Amino acid sequence: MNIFDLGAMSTGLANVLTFWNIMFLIVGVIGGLIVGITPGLGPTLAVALLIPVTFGMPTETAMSILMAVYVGGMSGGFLTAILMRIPGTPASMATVLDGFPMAQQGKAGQAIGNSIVANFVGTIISAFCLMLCAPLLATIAVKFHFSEYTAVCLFALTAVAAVTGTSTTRGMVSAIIGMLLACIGLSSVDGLPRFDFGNTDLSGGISLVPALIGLFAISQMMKDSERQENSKVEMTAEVSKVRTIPEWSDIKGNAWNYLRSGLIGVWIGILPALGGGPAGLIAYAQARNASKTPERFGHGAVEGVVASETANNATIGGGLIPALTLGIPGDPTSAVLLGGLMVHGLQPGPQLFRDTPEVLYGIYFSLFFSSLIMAVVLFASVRWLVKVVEIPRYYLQPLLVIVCSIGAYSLDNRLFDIGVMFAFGLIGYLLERCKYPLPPLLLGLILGPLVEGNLRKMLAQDGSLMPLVTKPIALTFMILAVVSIIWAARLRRMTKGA
Amino acid sequence: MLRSKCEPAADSVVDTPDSSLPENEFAVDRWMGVALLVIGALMFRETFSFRTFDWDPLGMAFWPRLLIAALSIISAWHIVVGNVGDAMEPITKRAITLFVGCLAYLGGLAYLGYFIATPVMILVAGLWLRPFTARAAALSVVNAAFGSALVYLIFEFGMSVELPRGIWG
Repeated sequence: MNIFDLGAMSTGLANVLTFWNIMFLIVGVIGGLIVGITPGLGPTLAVALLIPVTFGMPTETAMSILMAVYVGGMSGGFLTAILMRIPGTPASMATVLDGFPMAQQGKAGQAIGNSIVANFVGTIISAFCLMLCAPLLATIAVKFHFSEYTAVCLFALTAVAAVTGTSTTRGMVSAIIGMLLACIGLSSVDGLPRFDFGNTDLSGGISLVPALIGLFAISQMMKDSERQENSKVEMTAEVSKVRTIPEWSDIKGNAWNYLRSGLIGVWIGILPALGGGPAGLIAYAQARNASKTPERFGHGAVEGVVASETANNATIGGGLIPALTLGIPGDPTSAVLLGGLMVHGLQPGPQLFRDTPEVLYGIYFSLFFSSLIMAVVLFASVRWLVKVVEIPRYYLQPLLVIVCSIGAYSLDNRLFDIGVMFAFGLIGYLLERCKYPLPPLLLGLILGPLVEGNLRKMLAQDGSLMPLVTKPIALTFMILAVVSIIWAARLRRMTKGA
Repeated sequence: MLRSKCEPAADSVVDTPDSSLPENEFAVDRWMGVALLVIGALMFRETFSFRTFDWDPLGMAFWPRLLIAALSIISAWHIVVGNVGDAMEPITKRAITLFVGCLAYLGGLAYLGYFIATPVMILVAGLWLRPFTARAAALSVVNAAFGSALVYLIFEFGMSVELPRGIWG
C-alpha cells in the first residue's frame, strides 16, 4: 500500500474541484451552519438527515457534501453561544464562558470574527493531521488479524461505554443493546436469519441509516416537542451593526493558542466518545494556564474563545482518523459518516486506502475547502445567518419529520424502514430520558457484526481467547480497554468529590 | 412515570449506588433491569430456534447468548442497586403524542399515500405545536402545501424516488 499516492491525490483534488462539487460544498456548508446555529440541532442530525439525499450521488460528491455539512454544523454553534449564551451545539459550550461576556462588553464583533478564524484554523490543522496520520495508521492496520480487530473493537466499545453518560454500567447496557439489535436479520458469518420472528422484513435486518436518523433526529424532535414556543429570542448585540473582521494583532497574538488548541482537539477527537465539547473545555483550560493574565478568563478574554473554537473544530479530523483507518468512529457524527460511506458500498478500514484512495483524498480536500468556504460564508453573511434562530419550531419540526421519513423510505423504497426509524426514535428518547447514553448504542450497532465476525473466526482458528492476550497489538488494546474503565471510574469519583 | 411537565434532573454524577436517592424517587435502573431481563429471556428462548450445523460448534446463537448473558448480569446488578446514576427525566405526554402522530403518518402513507398523508401531517403538527389562532391556521396551511411540494420535488424529481401512493395506486 502506497502511503501517499500522488495519483490518487490529484484525482481526489480534481473530483472535489469540479463546478458542481463546489456548489454542493457551498450548499452543504450553508445548510450545516443553519443547523449548527439552531440550538438543539447539531452536525450529527444534519449528516444523518442528508445521507438518504446523497444516495443517488457519486461517492466523491456524496462524501464532499457530508463533510461540508459536518464542518458547517460544527462551526455554527458559536454564534448563539456568543450572542445568546446558548451554545448552538454542545461543542461550543466553552465558548459561552468568554464569548458572552465579550458580547455584553460590546465586543461581539471581535468575538465572532476571532471565532470564525479559530474554526477555520482548527479545521485546517485537523485536516493536515488526518492527511498525515490516517495513511500511516492504515499501514499498521493492514497487519491486524482477527484477534487485533476483536481487541480494538472491544476497546472502542468499553471506552465509549465508560466515558459517556453518568454511569459506566449504563453505557455498557446501551452498547449491549446496540449489539443485540445488530443481531436482528442475516448473520454476517452464517448468512442465515436470526431474531426475525417470522417477519420477512426483519429477516433483512435493520438498515443502519433509518436507525441512525431515528436515534438522533426523531428522538431529538420528541424532546423538542416538550417545550412550547412562546418566548422571543433575545440577543445581546445587533450583529448587523458590528464589525466582524478580526484585528491582525488578535490573530498574531494567538498563534500558539491556535496550534496548541488545534492539536488538543485532534487528540481528543481520536479518543472514542469525547468529541467537541470536552475538547473545547480542555483547550480553554490549557489556554488559561498558559496565559500571563489568567484572571481575565471568564470575563471576556478573546484567547478563551479562540481556544474553545479551534479545539472543537479540530475534533473533526481527529475523529475521522480511527473512523477511516479502523472503521471505529471517534464520535457520533463520525459514526453517521461511516454509515454514509457504507451506503455507498465502501467498508471503512485499511482496505479503503488500498482500493479507493481517491475517495479518501476527496474527503481530505473536502475538509480543506469546506473550512475555507465556511470562513468566507460566515464573514459575508453572519448578519443574515443569525436570523435562523428566529425561525419558529412549529414550521421547522413537522417538515423535519417528513424529510426524515421520506429520506428513510428512499433508501430501499420500503415503508418498513420508516417504521424502523420511528422505533429507534422511541428507543433513543426513552433511553435518553432514563439517562442511558446513545453513543454506545450506536457504536454497538456498527461494531457488533465486526466483533462477532472476528471473535468467531478467531475462536474457530485458534480454539481459545488466548490470542487476545498473547499478541502484542491485541494485548495493548485489551489493556487500554481496562484502563479506560478504571480511568472513567476514577474521573467520576473525583467529579463527585469536587 | 408519564408526566405532563418537564422537570430538571438531579445533578449528581455517580457510578456507585446512590444512597441519597429520595424514597419516592423512581428507581430507573431497577425497572430498566427488570425490563431488560424479560426481553433477554425472550431473546434467549428465540436463540433455540436458530439453525445449527455440526461443523460449526459455536453456531450463530453463540454471540447473541453471550450478549444476553452480559446484559442479564448487569441488569441483575442494577436491580440489586436500584439507581447507579442520574435520576430519570419524566417522559412527557407531548413527546408520546408526537410519536403516536408519527405512527399515524406511517399508516397514512401506507393507506392514503404521500399526497394526502403529508399535508395533513404538517398541518396537524403545525397547529398542535403552537396556540391556535386564525393566522396560525392560515400559515400552517401554507407551510403544509409548500413543504409537501418541496419534499415531493426533491425526492420524486431530484432523486427519482417513487413516493408511496397508498391504496389509490
